[in-house]
Amino acid sequence: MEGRFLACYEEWLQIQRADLNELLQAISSQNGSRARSEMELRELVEKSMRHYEEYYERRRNLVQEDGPAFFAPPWCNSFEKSILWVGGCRPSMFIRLIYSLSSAGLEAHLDNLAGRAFASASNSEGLVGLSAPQLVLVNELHRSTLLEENRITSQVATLQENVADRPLLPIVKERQRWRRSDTSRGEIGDGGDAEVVAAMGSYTAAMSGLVEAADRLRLETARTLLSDILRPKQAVELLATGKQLHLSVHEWGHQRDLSRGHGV
Amino acid sequence: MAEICCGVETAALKSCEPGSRAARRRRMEIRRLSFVAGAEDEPSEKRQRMDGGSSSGSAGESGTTPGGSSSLKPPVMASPELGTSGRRPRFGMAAVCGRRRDMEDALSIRPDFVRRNDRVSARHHFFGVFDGHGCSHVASLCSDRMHQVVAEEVETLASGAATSPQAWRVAMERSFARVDAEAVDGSGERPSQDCRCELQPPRCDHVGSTAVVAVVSPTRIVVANCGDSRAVLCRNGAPIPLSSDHKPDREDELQRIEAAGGRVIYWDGARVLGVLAMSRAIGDSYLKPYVISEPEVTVLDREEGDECLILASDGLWDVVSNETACDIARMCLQGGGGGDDEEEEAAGEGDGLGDASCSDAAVLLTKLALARQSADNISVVVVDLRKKCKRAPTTPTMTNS
Repeated sequence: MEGRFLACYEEWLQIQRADLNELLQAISSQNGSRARSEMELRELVEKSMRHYEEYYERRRNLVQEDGPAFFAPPWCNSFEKSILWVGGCRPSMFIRLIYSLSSAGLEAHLDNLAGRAFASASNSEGLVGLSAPQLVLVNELHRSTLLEENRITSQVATLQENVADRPLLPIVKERQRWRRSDTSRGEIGDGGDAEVVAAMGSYTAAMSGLVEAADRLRLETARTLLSDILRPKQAVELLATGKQLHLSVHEWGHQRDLSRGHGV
Repeated sequence: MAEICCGVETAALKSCEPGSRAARRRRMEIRRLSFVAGAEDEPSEKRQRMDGGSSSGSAGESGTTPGGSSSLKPPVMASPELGTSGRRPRFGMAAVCGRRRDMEDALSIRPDFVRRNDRVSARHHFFGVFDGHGCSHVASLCSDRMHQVVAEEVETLASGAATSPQAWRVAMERSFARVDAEAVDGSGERPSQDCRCELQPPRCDHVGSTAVVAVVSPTRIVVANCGDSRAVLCRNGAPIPLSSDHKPDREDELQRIEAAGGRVIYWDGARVLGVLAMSRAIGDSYLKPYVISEPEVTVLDREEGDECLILASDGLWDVVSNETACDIARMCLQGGGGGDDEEEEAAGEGDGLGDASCSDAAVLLTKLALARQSADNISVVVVDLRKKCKRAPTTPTMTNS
């Protein structure tokens, strides 16, 4: 079972690397003779977006199979696991990334205030040039994403608390009584206890549902940003940085685990 | 285009806008179409200016919030005596949640918000920044109500009193007291999606908001402030603060709090009773009488050298000095205030477009605050105060529709 889960993630990392290379090439050729047209950049963004969608589609089958595994995935390193939110990255991180990129280097421009460098930064086609109406849309998306994130977070909390309730708790108490009165009847964990399997199943199904909801929010947030709000050049910049961040965190988290003696 | 601006703008201005996801998506689809349409038939420079300008499209829309607009809208009358003062104000704004996970700031921009009659003949424009704490609902209340209350107070002034600075002080003080009363008793409350309060408003007494309000008329600027948001005037290239932050460790505020029997305790900065890091606010009934809602009011005559007015929440002022803010705003206004402004103004008459340089200034200040790691919500309003009398007046090419 775990092999398929690991393979799915490994494959995703490969795709991320390949897409990143393409995005970086497009960025580096921007000032050269092979500068990409808006249309080409838009296609590149669509390709990345399609890969996201395909990955989440493959993932969805595994999520339905074993939701709990995605809350602490054995295929992620410790650092990756620690920053997971319901099986993946927080959708609000996309917006934080935009804030970081759209303000990057402004301080340096400020030193050239006498020149017009600062003003020209705001006319840049990249994320530094995020316009007033774009900022309005980003903020609106930020707020609706935070609301949705908080809603899912609160559902996770309720689900976790539900473990101390029906249907699991009565079974625990009942098994305890059985054990006291007749040790030959049902042991917890004998695997054949249909009632326990059913009870656990009700929780794990709910967990799968939450990961699916979180995945939908991740996709929807990315889609809104990349297709609806950002211009193609800005979208390429955001995608490239996002992938760099993900791959670096994966790599450095892995190194960290190795150095602490618990390799993945 | 105006409709798009309306949808986008209402969301930006009103922190409690419910806005379903579907509705948002629909708006974005429209927005996207407009980008595409622009790309096909307009040179990119022009398009960028339009993009920038549409953010300030609220000039026409921000005053028309559902349920409260009709009584405020002045009867459409082209008063010839208004002359140059009859223009819409040029302004821009930006408001972001930033690095916080709650949006508690609210903006309110209400052009021409006082009904004109024989006592009040000039156009007065209202600008307000409200930075909530505890929850967003008091800030929302302020952005929904403050301009209405100020307008009512101004309209009740005796004939000719609208020109007296003292009358303005009284009107502002009364307005703040009335809105504070509404915040405390919860009567003006409206349901808000963002409101995180579990308690119903009357019992939700740990919630409050700063309020910095500027009323701009052709001859004068009136600023009323309560809390640690700030208004700064750029005059002849230098910043003049028009409000003084109400911090608990400000000498006179400290004395006032202690005289009322309160204490200022240093716990993560100076705080009233160790709780609130400002000495005046709207709401916060549990900290009365130490925390008061009485504003400090500045009344200032406009001068030739006035360039712009900046109102912002502490998300900006915590990391950007008055001087820097002034420099950046001036630079944007000068950059955008070239010879093509008349055209922008003409286009702007009907739908509120044409404040691109003010928007640029507000956005740039917001980005700078983000670059400097501001950890708070950031809200910025920039109002262009430059008089454009140097240029020959143009015949209006578009009528107000």
